[in-house]
Amino acid sequence: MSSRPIASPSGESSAPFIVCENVRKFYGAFEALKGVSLSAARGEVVCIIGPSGSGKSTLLRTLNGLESFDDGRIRIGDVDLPGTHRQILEVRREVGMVFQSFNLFPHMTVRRNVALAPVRSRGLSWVEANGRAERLLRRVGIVDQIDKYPGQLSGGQQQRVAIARALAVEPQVLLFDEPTSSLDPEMVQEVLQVMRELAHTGITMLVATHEMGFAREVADRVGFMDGGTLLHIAPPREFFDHRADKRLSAFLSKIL
Amino acid sequence: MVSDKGIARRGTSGLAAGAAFARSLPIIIGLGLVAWLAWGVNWSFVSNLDFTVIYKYRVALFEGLVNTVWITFASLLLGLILAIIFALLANVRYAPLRWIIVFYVEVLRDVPLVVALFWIHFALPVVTGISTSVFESGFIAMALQSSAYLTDAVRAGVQAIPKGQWDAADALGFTTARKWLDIILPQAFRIIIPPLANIALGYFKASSVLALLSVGELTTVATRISNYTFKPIETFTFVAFVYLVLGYSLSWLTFRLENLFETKRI
Ligand SMILES: Nc1ncnc2c1ncn2[C@@H]1O[C@H](COP(=O)(O)OP(=O)(O)OP(=O)(O)O)[C@@H](O)[C@H]1O
Ligand SMILES: [Mg+2]
Repeated sequence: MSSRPIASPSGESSAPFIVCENVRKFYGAFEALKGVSLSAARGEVVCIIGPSGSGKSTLLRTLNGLESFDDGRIRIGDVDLPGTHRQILEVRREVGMVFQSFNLFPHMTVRRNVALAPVRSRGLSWVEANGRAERLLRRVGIVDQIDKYPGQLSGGQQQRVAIARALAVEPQVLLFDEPTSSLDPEMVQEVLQVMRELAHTGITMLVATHEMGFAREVADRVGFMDGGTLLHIAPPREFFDHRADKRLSAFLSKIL
Repeated sequence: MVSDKGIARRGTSGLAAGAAFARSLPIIIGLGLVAWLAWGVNWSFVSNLDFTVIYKYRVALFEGLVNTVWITFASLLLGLILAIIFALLANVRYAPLRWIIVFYVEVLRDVPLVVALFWIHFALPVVTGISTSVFESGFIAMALQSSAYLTDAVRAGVQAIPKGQWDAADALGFTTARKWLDIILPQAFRIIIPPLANIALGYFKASSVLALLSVGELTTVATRISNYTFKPIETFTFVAFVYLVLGYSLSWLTFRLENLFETKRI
């Protein structure tokens, strides 16, 4: 299915935009990441699967500085984390995030949710930002809800607003932390469809997910995490058909 | 109903008698109250009431009222600004700063307003060399003390904001100032409207203790009129009524404000 080349179509350098080397993270004495190495080229889509508590969220959250890490190296573009406060802000504008529980701002309309960050982080005027919000909301198919408040939308609609909000800052990378896990089954597809379309635009995506069909179809590579370690990472066909690791095949046979 | 009675009859007689007594208690109290009103109160004072004093001193009373409203509003506004600053500083990862704030809040909460008032008016000039008018002393005492209560309220409101909101603001690359101004404080404010209104009502009434220094608010004026005219019943009945009306208006305003926020987001 995935016919898109790994390198970006515009022919930019294919040096990985995200590089992690031996990243370790402790919560007190508990080691949540036990030396994870992962890199992602520009335009690449990497899905990460694994059981609950394996460290998927923790890994994604270290990539935009929401969590600190204790050892190893993380490089985003040309910034080594943890940088200065200013550099962290820069990185976050290049690395957007979509959360499992949407985390929309409940006291603002959908329009303002999307337009706020471009104004505050990118220096757009409200007129420009509102225009951008409208375009993005049209793209994710909810422009008709633009003047409502998040509490008035369904889960699937809220998550699509959250995607539009993340895109509004024009990031190079989008991190998705189980974006469909708190959705009712009938709303999962509408969100996956938006993500599928997004994957073809050349944006870099790192997706923690339990949606195997999506991973197989859309990902350039699929990684398997267990117990704080990235045990195996490979293109989807190889990943799903060969099941190189014993724990991976146990995990897959449980959920497929 | 039938089965209820059956159960009551089967229960121990002591319990049933107790329940019967508890049920008739309001009636007994009500009858007692009526008896006291009829025979206990010397109603002849009513014929001597002269509410024209209120009209005669209306200007002074109005000025007192304006002073009450003004000192309450201004001191609470300053208190709220201080409280927001303290609540922000309490989030700074520098422990000594947090201890200072905890200490400040605790001290000001435990000292009665009157004591704070006298201390500021009589001790502060000795300590600092700056002397304040009675009005200024009252204003400072109320602002400082309300800031302690309000710091707690604001801090509780801030802590009630889900972690996901902080994450979302951070992930969008907001600066710390923007995160607080756009995301955290507006949502916290909605949460703290009820405690804020309670504190405001409390200080609106508590401002009457400033009369001990003759600050010139409503109760001061009422005391003067009452002492001068020997008509305490008329004066203080009227003043109680004014406090009631204003207090009730404040509650109503709060209710409307809450509703406004509520309907906006379903
Ligand atoms: N703030 C925290 N303090 C202490 N331990 C934490 C914290 N956050 C996560 N952990 C622990 O770190 C481990 C990895 O958590 P993480 O949320 O990254 O897992 P996950 O793979 O995303 O799981 P899920 O599929 O349930 O989202 C878990 O064992 C979790 O209990
Ligand atoms: Mg997770």
